[in-house]
Amino acid sequence: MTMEVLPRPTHFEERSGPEIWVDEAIWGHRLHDEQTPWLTFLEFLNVLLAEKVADRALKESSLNSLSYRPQTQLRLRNLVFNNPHIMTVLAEDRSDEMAWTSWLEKMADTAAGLESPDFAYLRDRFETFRDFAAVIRFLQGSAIEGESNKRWSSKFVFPFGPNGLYEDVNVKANGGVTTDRRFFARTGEVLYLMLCRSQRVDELRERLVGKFLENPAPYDGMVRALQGESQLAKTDRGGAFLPCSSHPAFDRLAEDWLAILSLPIPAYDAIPHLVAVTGLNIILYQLVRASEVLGTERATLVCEIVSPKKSVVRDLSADSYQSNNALPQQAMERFIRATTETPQWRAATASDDAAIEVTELLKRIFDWPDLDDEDERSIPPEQLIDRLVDKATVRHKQHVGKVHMTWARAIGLSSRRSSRRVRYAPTDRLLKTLVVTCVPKRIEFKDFLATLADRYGLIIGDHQARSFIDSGNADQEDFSDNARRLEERLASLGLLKRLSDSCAYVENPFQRGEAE
Amino acid sequence: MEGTSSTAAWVRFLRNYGPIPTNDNMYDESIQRALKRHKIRPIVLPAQFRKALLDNFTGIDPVSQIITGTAGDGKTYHCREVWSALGGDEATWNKGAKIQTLSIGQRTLVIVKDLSELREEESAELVASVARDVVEPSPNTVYLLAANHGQLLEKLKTAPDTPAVRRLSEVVEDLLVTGTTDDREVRLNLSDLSRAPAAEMMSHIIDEIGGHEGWAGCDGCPAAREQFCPILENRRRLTGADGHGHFRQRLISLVELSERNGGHFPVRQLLSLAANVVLGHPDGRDGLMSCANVPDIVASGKTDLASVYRNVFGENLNPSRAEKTEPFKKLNLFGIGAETSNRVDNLLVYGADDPVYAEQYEALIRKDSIYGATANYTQGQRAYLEGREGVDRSAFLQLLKAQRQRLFFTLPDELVAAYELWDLTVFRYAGVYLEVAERLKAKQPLPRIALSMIVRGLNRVFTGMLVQNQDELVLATSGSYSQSKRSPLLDELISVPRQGGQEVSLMLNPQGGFDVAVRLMRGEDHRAVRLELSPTRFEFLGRVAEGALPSSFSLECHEDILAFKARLLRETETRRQLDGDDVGEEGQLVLRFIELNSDGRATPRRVMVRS
Repeated sequence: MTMEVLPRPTHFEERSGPEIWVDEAIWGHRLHDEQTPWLTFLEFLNVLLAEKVADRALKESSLNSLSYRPQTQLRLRNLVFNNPHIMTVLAEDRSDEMAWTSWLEKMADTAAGLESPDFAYLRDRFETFRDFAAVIRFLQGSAIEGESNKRWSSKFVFPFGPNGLYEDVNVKANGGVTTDRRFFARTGEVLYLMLCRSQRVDELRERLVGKFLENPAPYDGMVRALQGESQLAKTDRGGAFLPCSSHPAFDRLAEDWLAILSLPIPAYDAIPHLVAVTGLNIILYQLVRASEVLGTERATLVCEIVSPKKSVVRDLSADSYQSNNALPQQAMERFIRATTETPQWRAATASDDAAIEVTELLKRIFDWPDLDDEDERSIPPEQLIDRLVDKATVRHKQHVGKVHMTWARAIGLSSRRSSRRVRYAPTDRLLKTLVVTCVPKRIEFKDFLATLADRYGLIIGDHQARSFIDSGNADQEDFSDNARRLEERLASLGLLKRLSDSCAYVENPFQRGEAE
Repeated sequence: MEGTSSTAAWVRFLRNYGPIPTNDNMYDESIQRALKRHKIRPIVLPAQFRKALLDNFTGIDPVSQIITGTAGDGKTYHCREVWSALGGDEATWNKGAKIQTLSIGQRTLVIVKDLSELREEESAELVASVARDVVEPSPNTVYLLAANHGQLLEKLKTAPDTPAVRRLSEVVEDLLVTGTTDDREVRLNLSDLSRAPAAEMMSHIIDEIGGHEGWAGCDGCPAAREQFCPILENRRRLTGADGHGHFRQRLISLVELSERNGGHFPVRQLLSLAANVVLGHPDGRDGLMSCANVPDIVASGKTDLASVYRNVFGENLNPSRAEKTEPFKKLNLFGIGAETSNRVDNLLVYGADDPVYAEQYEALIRKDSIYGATANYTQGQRAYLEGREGVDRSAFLQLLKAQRQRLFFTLPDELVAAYELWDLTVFRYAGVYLEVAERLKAKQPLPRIALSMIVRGLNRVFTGMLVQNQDELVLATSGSYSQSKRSPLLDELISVPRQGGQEVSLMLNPQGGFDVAVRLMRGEDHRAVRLELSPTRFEFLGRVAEGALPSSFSLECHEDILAFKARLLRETETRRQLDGDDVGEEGQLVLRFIELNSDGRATPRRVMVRS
């Protein structure tokens, strides 16, 4: 196992930090399945904004020292997501004056998480109550997670600009506001650190700050009218951790982002593509770190381009999905057990006070067990390791172990369409993202297949599937049919121009001259 | 039987063009051999670029030429035509040197009929000299090179990488993919045979095959005199003799629609299609009849399976083969036979007994005893209607499918509207599409419903609401990303009739199809924003205009139209900047929300926000 694992940061006092430091040591603090790629991107923008205000956007003074103060914008959020009164008031059909009064009274009762819920300032900003209602409806309609049944404090206005950025919180019944990290679970911080540590961070900083923070869409002004002055969190958020100081996965992520950010499209149109490639890169990061722990080859992802009938490629892609899905847990267990092969372990077990030595060794590496726990101190070393594996497995299965499954579905990489098994079967939308990311202007179709394999390990065509064909698990035709289906799909999406049976070009739709 | 008719050899020759495994007549070379053996006059088709090529090479300032296309498009044929027309010796050509040269005045013309024949070092040398000569303003050597797309690119890639070769490659790639290049100093022209209009070619092929001297031998054939010959019958129906003109016309329409949707038919496939139409029968070897098969087929009473209306979709082949074989793959995308309407099925199923349909049933079905009301069909129909125990209904449904296919190709023009001919395909608006294309070419006024249907469809996609506006384009924005399905904010209303520099219209495009063009302001610098309307997009907008939900009908089209909207939004943005319209009062933001009034028209409502 030759991989970089930075030490757990000690400069933050965290009462609620992780009890066992295993998943975090491998992948960072932390990857979380309940935080969708979209919410990861939003959390990232929050970090970026806070750090830009502090004049250190995408600059880490020392590794894993990130500490930032995000916005909370609770006035805005109450208005857009905790405001069931507008329909009632409009239905009463009273004069404008009466409507405002009635609404303000109702709002004063129900707004939460604010010291003084007074929204009277809005009357100066809108000409009529109906206008105000129309604006609120608009913001609800374009919200992220707006349709979901998440709590109101976990819904987000579209990131038109800095005024609409705020962190996920929990607003308690008594009005208290806490950061429970339910949906902003630090995956956005991990993303931020990855980009910080990529080689092309300077170019990225310029583009990101320019596109998302300094030139907001006009609608950011509307958001500002509702929110008024920005509200900030009461304390800084520290504790983010990423275990490597550099990694090819970070550089690839940054390159993908730069490719998208340099397209001649507005910032808001770039976001869905950024979200999708972020999802893909983080899934691959999880897999590649697992391979590093296990000392295995980089994982490949066999993708079926959905065909109407059951095919060999469908089975292989389901197998490939299944084996990749199991990788993180295997890596986690291996990471723990590898300790028993170290000289430190041998020394500890050979010492007179083996129980204490081993406990302390494990504590140093994994932050477990609790040294005051009599019970765990008296267990023999081998059993102690087993117990750690058990505990870490239970914990792993709750969230980190589900990232591959949840995220692959969220970005349209996996599907169960017309099959009982989940497999890699990219959707049209993901394919489009891959084209706009990997194709500078146009490339030959066969080169596109090669690029997807080299860059992401996505196996689609017969050239890339050599190992499956040579081992007799598939015929060349199975994969060449698969590639042909991709060609047809891309053509129907307007992303491919076929010149003849033997020759086709994949084109980036945004770099094509005729589109202008 | 063989000896009784000299047609047999011709039919065998024609068979080789068909969708048979060896597909011998794919290659010019094997055709030449067969022709010599049997003394058959070759099938001659117009070389579409012949005149342009000759004009160029005999002109004062010739430019080098590349001919490309799919295998079977006629590249070799073009080269040979140019060679002989410029005085090249036929015998020299037939010796088959890979690189042939010819002097034209002071210059040398180098002809390579197939780049892929060259060994790597030969092509490297050639590519290097081409790269050198095409940038010369007045070169001593000009070239005529032919290769299919893949080979052409391969040769350029494997040639030694020099700046000149790279420049040549870029220009060739530009010409291949977009049809133009920015690098005008490279004096090179590229003719892509796969972009030549296949509908026109289909017509030539039908004339050429139908009118071939090979058929003359039929006069002495007992099959033709004493009994019935399906091959001859099919030839009649293909060429449009005896009032069968609709077959030809509708087949050409299908080819045209398919081409406009990006499904190209190389000449080879058109020949294969025509051969299959005439000779197809499931009992023939490889699904194609020869003269010798005819008596057996007639005796077995299965002549109806030779129907041209089935053969055109490859139904004489086994289904898995037809599925994989061009051109049937493309033609089957129309769903003809599977799609239908109540009216058509009522006619076909109940027509024999229903007095309302009696007259038309007589004219449209019963009159054609060969492929229409055959004994097979009438018996199946009877059994189906009486619903006797043990009757295999699926067999009749197969027959019904064949009848729908037949009706598509035989319905007379005056009944096209009544029976909604195009409802027999998945493209219900294809009739309107073709009419628009035709009238645009003839510079005639368009059918009135066309533009308003397109505009209504666009408006519904643009706003994500069921709006009725059709005399103005409702350009709406979601405020967030362009691919968002609902757009509650109004950006601009654009007048459809010309007004103040604005106009929405349908216009021909250089590729032979037509676009919807939106003009936002006056002036030469501001070109209209255009979107090509393929039959699929046209259908999509038609269906959306009549009430279908955009994303449930076609996600791809939906995205295309939203991308078109994004382009329009960028354009209005630019225009507002030019006009200085965007400068509002400091600290004020004006929004225009779209509201639907009682008759479903979108109207704007202004909302002002002070920040």
